[in-house]
Amino acid sequence: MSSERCYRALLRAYPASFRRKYQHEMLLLFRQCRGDAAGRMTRFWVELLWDIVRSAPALRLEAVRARGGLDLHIMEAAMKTMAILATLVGVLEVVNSLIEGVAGWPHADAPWMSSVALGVLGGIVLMVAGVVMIRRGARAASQALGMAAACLVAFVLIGFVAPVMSGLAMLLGLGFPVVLVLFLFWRRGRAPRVPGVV
Amino acid sequence: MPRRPDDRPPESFLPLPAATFQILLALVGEERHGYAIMKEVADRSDDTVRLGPGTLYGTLKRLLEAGLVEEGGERADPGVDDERRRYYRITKLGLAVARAEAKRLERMVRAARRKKLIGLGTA
Repeated sequence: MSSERCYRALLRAYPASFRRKYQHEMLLLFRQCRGDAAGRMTRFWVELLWDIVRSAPALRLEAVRARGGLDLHIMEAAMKTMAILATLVGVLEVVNSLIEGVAGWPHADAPWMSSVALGVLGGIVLMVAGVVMIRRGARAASQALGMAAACLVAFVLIGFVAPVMSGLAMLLGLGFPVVLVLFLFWRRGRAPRVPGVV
Repeated sequence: MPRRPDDRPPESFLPLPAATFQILLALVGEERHGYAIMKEVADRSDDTVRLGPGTLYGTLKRLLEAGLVEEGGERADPGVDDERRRYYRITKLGLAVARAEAKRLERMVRAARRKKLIGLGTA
C-alpha cells in the first residue's frame, strides 16, 4: 500500500461530512509535507498519527452533536438497555413465581396463592413494559412508567400478603421498577427541545 | 433567535486555543491556502509549532463556522505546484478577535515581566 493510500485510509477516522469538504486539501497537504520531510519519514508519520489521534475524536463529537445531539444518542442507548433489562427481569420474576407456585402447591393457602399470582402478574407487566420501550411507540415512556408503577405495587402487596418470594426476587421486584421509574423521569427531564426555541 | 457570529463581541471568543491564534495570525494581511498557513506558522515559530492536516483543517472549519475566517476562492499556487487550492482570508470579526487575543497575551506578558519571570537578566 502506498503511503498516500495509507493516509487516505487513516482519514476515515474523521467524520464523512468533514472528509467531503477537506479530504482533497488534506491529501494535497500530505503530499507536500511528505516531500518536505524527505529523510525524516519516521518523525513525519509519528507526527501525522498524533495529529489524527488529537483532532479526529473532537471532530467526530462535533459531527454527532450537529446531527441531532449527543444527548439523543445516549438517551436512545440508555432506553434500549433499560428496555432489555425490564424484559429480562420480568421473565425472571415470572419464572421464579411459577417455580415458587409449583414448589408450595400441596400446602397452598389463599394468601400464598395470591402472592404467586401477583408475582406472575408483576413479572408479565414488567416484560410488557420492556417490549413497549423496545418498540418505541409515541407514548412508550408514559406507558412503561405506568407499568413500572403497577409492578412495584404488585411486589409491595406480595410483601404484605405473603412474602413467599426469595430475597433476590423481592429485591429485583421492588428495586428494578423504582430504578425504571427514576430513569423514565430523568429521561423526561432531558427530552430534546425544538432547535432555536429557548 | 440564534445570534449571528457578527453579533458576538470579540472578547467572548477568548482565550483562543494556540492553534486558532496561530492560524488567525497567519491570515492577517494576506489570504493563504492550507499549506501556506502551515509553513507560515512553522517559520514564525522556528519550527516549534507544527500544525498537522487534521488540526489545521479542523480549526479552519470551526473558524469558518464562527465567521472569523471566510473562503476566498480556489486557484493554483505557482510557488507550490499546479494543483488548485482553496484560499482562506480573515474577516473583520476575525481580525478583532485576533487583536483582542494579542492584547490579552500582552497583558499577561506585562504581568510576567512585573513578576520578573522574564525580561532583563533572565534566561
